[in-house]
Amino acid sequence: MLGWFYRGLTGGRVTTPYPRREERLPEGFRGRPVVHPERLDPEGSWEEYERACLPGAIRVSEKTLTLDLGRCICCGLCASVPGGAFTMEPDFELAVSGRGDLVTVVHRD
Amino acid sequence: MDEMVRIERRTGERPERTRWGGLRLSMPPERLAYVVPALAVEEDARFVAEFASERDGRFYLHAVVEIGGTYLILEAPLAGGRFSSLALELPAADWPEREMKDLFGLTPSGHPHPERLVLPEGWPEGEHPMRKGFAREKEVELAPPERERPIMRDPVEGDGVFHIPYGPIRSGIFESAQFVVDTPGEKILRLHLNMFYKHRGMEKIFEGVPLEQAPLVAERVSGTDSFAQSLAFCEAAERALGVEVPPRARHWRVILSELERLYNHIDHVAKQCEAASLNVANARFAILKERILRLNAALTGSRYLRGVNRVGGLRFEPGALEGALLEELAGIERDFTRDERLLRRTDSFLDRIVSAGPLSREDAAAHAAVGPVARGSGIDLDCRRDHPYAAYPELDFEVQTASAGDADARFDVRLREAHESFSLIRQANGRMPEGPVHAASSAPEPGAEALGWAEGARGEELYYLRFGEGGALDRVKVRTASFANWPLFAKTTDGQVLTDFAFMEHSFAMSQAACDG
Repeated sequence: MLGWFYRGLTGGRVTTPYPRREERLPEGFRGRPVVHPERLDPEGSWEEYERACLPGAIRVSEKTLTLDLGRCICCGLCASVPGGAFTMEPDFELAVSGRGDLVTVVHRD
Repeated sequence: MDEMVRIERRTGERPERTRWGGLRLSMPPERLAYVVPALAVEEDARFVAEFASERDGRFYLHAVVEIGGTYLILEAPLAGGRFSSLALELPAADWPEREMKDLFGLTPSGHPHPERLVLPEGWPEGEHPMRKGFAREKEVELAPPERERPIMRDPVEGDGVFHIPYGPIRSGIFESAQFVVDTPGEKILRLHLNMFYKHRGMEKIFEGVPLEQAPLVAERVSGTDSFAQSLAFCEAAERALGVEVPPRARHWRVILSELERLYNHIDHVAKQCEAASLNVANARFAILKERILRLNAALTGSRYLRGVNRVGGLRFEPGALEGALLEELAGIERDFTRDERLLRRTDSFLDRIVSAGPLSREDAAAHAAVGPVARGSGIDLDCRRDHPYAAYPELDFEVQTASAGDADARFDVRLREAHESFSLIRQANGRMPEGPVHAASSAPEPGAEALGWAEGARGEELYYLRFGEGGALDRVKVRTASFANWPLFAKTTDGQVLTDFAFMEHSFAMSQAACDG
């Protein structure tokens, strides 16, 4: 038991100063998708984004594109659709105070 | 002896060698009921899986056995809704046949206790969710429960014997399972397992999902086996399509599989330390697990290695395992080895796991156990060696076994496997071939089928898949290691004491989600 006592003393501190200081995440961490409306072709069909999304977090209607982070599984398949309208960002702080705050709506005009 | 000859001797027919590398044989169902036990008893074949499928309005019974180092699929078209049960002769068929009864409405004649297994209480008779006629979106109304006691089969009754329902919601465990213990106070007389509280219908969810997205479904079969699940699925699809995975992707698959095994095995050690109130050891192993999860994130962008596998290889080139990351891996190995050495000398810990939860070799074999649970009881099996996949055939490693069959034996097997994992990662990384990590494949042909497998941290994860019209996924059978091993847990607790329950449970280290499906 004494062995574990000493090992506990020598282990040092492993907790990080988060949230006082920003937690640095590795490059390429798939934290959340972000939609860039300016990269969506206003004349094109946006349906390929909906098709790329397994859990149905991206829904496209005639006039809108909706991204619902509450359904997103952060797989990143939307970011591999050509055109680059979606990118995966390393931001993992997804907590919001209302369900609606998880939803982003892009209008066609 | 050649497995073809052995199979022919018991079945009277020569099996067909399939494109995916295994063997296949069709026969009438009454023959299948005789052949599978004959192969198991006379030819030492291992029961692997039994499941149903439906095509063109007809039901089929499938059994998978392993014989002479090869998987053999036996298929029988059913004329009605009944088939002869194998469960009396092969206890491992008990759960699979009850699952078929619930989900497909096929009755196993002669099953020793064909009670409901997967579907919840109050689920209406005649509704079978895996049938093609049952729409995925269909909502079913459950009748209110009528019982006053938890579900128990043959409970031990008597003066002073009472039943402790433990779960389905328990402290410290996120998943749902109920253990009902018959006990006069301390000794466990019988344990009843009530599982499948969170059956999600994963096999149904697969149907019709595009191949590009299907690995994402496999990953969600079990969160802590995500890589093994998606790998076994991709292996099955790649075998069905005949696509050659590039060497670089095969090496990466080894590295990521072993990282998954490492964090799971280390998690098991941390949990055992926690159960023994060895707080410093618990914290130190938990820190090691966290360091591996961070390494996973740095390599793949996902702590649990999700979104990496893709049919034909990987979705992207992982971050290079060099420089600081390679040093971190070496540091994890050094710290793990140091703490392992101390833990193996900590008597107050060893006292709790030695002789706890014994599983005999006979029981493990009869119930077709897999993974460290089987290897801890002296059964020498490991897909990585027995059914080579990824880059394992090109790398050196030893399959670890122990003979005692108790929690200590499973602990010992996992620790030794962890060292093999570090070595495998170094080897695969050191010999990493240049080239792409993905190969394109042609569209699936209707009717193409295959098995795929991966040795996950909990054992053999097995997928059967079949493509239907238009190349869509028509049937995916998921036989996880947890589904295979969980029924055995009740065997390990007989005659043990309640205070050791946590040690016995952690030593099994099964996934509930992977079992519930």
